[in-house]
Amino acid sequence: MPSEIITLQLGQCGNQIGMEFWKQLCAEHGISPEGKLEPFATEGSDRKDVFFYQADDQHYIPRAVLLDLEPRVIDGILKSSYKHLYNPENVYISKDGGGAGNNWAQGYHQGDKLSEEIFDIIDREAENGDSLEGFVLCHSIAGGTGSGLGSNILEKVNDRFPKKLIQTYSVFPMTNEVADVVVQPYNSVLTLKRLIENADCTVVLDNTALNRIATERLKKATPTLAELNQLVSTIMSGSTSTLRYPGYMNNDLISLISSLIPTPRLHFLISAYTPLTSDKTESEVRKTTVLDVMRRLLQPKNAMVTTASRDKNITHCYVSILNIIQGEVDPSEVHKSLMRIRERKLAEFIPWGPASIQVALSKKSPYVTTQHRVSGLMLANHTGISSLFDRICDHYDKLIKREAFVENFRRLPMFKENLDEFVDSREAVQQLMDEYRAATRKDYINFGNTETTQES
Amino acid sequence: LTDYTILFPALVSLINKLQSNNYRGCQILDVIRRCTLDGNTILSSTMKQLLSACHRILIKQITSILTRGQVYDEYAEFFIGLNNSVNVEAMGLATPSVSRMTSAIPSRSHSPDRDRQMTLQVAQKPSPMTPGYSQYQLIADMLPSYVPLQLADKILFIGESWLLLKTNDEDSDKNALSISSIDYDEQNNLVQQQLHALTISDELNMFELERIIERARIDLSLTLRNLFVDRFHLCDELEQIRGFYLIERGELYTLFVNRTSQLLLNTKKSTNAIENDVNEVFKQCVNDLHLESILTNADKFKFKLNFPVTENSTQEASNGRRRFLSRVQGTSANANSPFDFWACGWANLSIQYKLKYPMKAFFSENCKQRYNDIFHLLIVLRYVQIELNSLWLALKNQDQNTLISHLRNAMSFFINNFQYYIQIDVLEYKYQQLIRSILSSTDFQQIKHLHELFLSDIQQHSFMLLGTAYDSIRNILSICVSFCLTLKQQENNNNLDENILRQFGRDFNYEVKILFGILGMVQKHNALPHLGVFLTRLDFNRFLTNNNGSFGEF
Repeated sequence: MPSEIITLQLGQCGNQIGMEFWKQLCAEHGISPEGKLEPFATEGSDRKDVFFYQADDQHYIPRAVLLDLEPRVIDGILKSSYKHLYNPENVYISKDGGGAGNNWAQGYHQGDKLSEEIFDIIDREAENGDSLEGFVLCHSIAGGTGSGLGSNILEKVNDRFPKKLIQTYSVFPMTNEVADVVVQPYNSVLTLKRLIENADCTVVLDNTALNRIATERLKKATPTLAELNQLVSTIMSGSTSTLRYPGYMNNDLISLISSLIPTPRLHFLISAYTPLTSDKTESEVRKTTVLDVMRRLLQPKNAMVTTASRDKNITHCYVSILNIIQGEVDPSEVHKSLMRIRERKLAEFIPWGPASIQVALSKKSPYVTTQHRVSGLMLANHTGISSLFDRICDHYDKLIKREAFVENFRRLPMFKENLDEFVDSREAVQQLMDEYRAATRKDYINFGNTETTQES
Repeated sequence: LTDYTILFPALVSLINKLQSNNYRGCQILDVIRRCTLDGNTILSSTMKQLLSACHRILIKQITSILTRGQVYDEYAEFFIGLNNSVNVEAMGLATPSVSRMTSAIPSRSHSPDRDRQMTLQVAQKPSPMTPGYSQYQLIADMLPSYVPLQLADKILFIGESWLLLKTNDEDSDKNALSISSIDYDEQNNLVQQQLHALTISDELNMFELERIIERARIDLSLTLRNLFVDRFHLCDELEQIRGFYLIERGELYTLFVNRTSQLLLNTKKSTNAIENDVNEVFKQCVNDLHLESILTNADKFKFKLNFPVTENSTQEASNGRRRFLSRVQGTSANANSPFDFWACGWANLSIQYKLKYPMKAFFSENCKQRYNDIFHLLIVLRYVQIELNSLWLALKNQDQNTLISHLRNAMSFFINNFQYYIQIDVLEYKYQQLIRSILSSTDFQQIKHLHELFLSDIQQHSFMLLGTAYDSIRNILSICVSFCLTLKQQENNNNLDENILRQFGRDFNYEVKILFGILGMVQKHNALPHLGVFLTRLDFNRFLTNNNGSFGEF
């Protein structure tokens, strides 16, 4: 069964969004919480085998590995109605059970200690399939497990499976001054370096933006964790819809990724989804056409990342855009929408190469009813994401200047001798931001190429 | 007796004329009719009576076809006759729309029957005959000059419809006519009466005849349409065809291409063994993707490799193309000969679709040929796209942005957007249009025509019929393949001579410039509005325009 994907859920956040993701997928494919195909699920042309495999008794099991250093969240999953869904052998909670204390180094160190047992599971799962296409990693970058253990696993997976794709759904922390976790910036920067060097594609989910959207769009004053995670699962299921409901194009992960990521390091994607409303009256008033959807996807307020479009006199722009549109779509509307968007200059693109908005029409689940005629997901590579990294680095710089809270890290082996790791990571993020900024200019083609002869 | 002195010579001359020229059957009608136009009233009225008597026979024949679809014509006098040749196509249109691919541009699929298709004859596209099935044809010689060809076509259609309905009737238990809302027994009586009324009057009332025939045509066309759409599930059939020929089943083809890419790349001529291998792999792909229950007709679609005769292929390779080809050293088997992508399996893959009667009445051989022509382009596009994606995978762990990745991106951009354009703006759009029209139509001939139109539209919108543009596209595809294969051969990309890379880039840009130029020019004259659609996608951020129609400097 070709193009299979293994999902790795790490840490508290990773497992929470993972759980929502599997819930969503089960609903879309007509799979019950126990993993059995529902009697109404007779439409057979959807591809369940990318994310699920079938046990001997025909019931569906997610190709998922659930990892955590403390039992709370996973226990919650295993007590929920979905407890029989997952393969119990793929659930790993460290015996220690003490968590990582929101400390990247602690998480990373645990990764070294526990890697053998963890990779027993991952290797087994990888051999389970016929032809694995890649891994999807769900985690947050600001805590301890998702960020530290996540970084470690990410490095090792990339090492052991160099030809496989690794996509991550990484939740970035809220970037206001008062943070829940004081060492958030350290954790973030350290994780970012691993994401830069080991992931092929990172979908950035910015908690600030998620909260804003949940508050504005869903009209809730204080959105619950479940609601925020639901937004994430909408993104995750939307971006995998062409894999699970195959059409003429984008049938595998490589097609989706290669068209969005022209240069290996600039692989941090923003996402957006519309319409997002649970308010019934709005759906009666609103008319959703393809143009509407595509237009709204380009609006910054709908993006799950807060970027600044102007940043130190740089006008940021899109490197690439992919819109996945679901619903009753007249194909001729697609072209008209593209024309309009181009005329009205609703999107600014890079000057150093060809770029356009790719629009894929995807089928959707026949079992999940939607209120809206047309809905759309956007995955885009936008140079403005560097402003998000900038904010993180800002906080980081303030902390590291005073060497605040660094003692917690020095306890662990990686930082015993020196704080080089911090410096290296900060440097890596800086280079990334520089490259993103360079990508707004025409001469980006020659970025970093000192040996290649210039065009005469 | 004086009357007879005028009459007899005229009659004798008439008979002599008929005998000396060997006029038979309906041809006699023409001659007699001319005689009726004589100024002499006695002559003309006598001739009219003669003509009238002949017309009675004609009407009898027409009645027989209109009501029962049968022709009793021992002496071959009627203008509709049985076509007993072995290769007969159901419902060939009187003025068939020949695939312009076959007439304007040499098609790459050289099946043995193809050359015979060049002749624009009525109902003679070769196809294996179903045993027991016979077909009518229009015998042009026998058509009186005052009977319009259109009218004769309609009669032909009616005759064929009856054959179709009756043959189908024998196969199935249910009466095919019972699904129609028209009571044919009553209808037939009415028609018989009406036609008989025609014979009574002095002159044959052509208007009335046309009206009666049109009425019968409308009814039968509706019955046939209902038969095909409701009973034979025409739309499902089209969906399956779309899945295979138009690569709607993307995941199936992606898997198939991945598994056979090397095999087909190395295949230069067709053997049964290779064809079997290819079909086996395809079947395996269907199974691996659990599509057996969805693609129930999968075994009706078989892949075939149709290579052109070797002399042609060397002649076809233009000088320009030889330039690109020499750069790739060829696969390990032919290390010394330049690699011609258009001579390998990927460029010569066709699908053979075993159609059973009665679906054959809807899908002519010409249709199938066109589907194959479109399939050729789509499968090559898919193959090139997958090769370029594999290259991305190989380059992803690099530290630096290189010339290679830059060129790869440009090529990928072109291929991806071309595919998006074809799949969404052309295929999806036209297909939805076709299905909507079929469902809302009540006329079988109309939906058949719409289907043919659908195919020719697709070909036109994919630039297949625009010779120079299509050549450019083919060249671009060649370059992309050469590029990917060259890089695959190099173990370590750093060893690759930079000049070779830049040459690829320049060649690529050259062809893109040509294409951009051609398309821009054609668009300016507003000849093909859909060009604008493709250009929008390709030039969305105006990079092409700003770089003189090229993808930058290499």
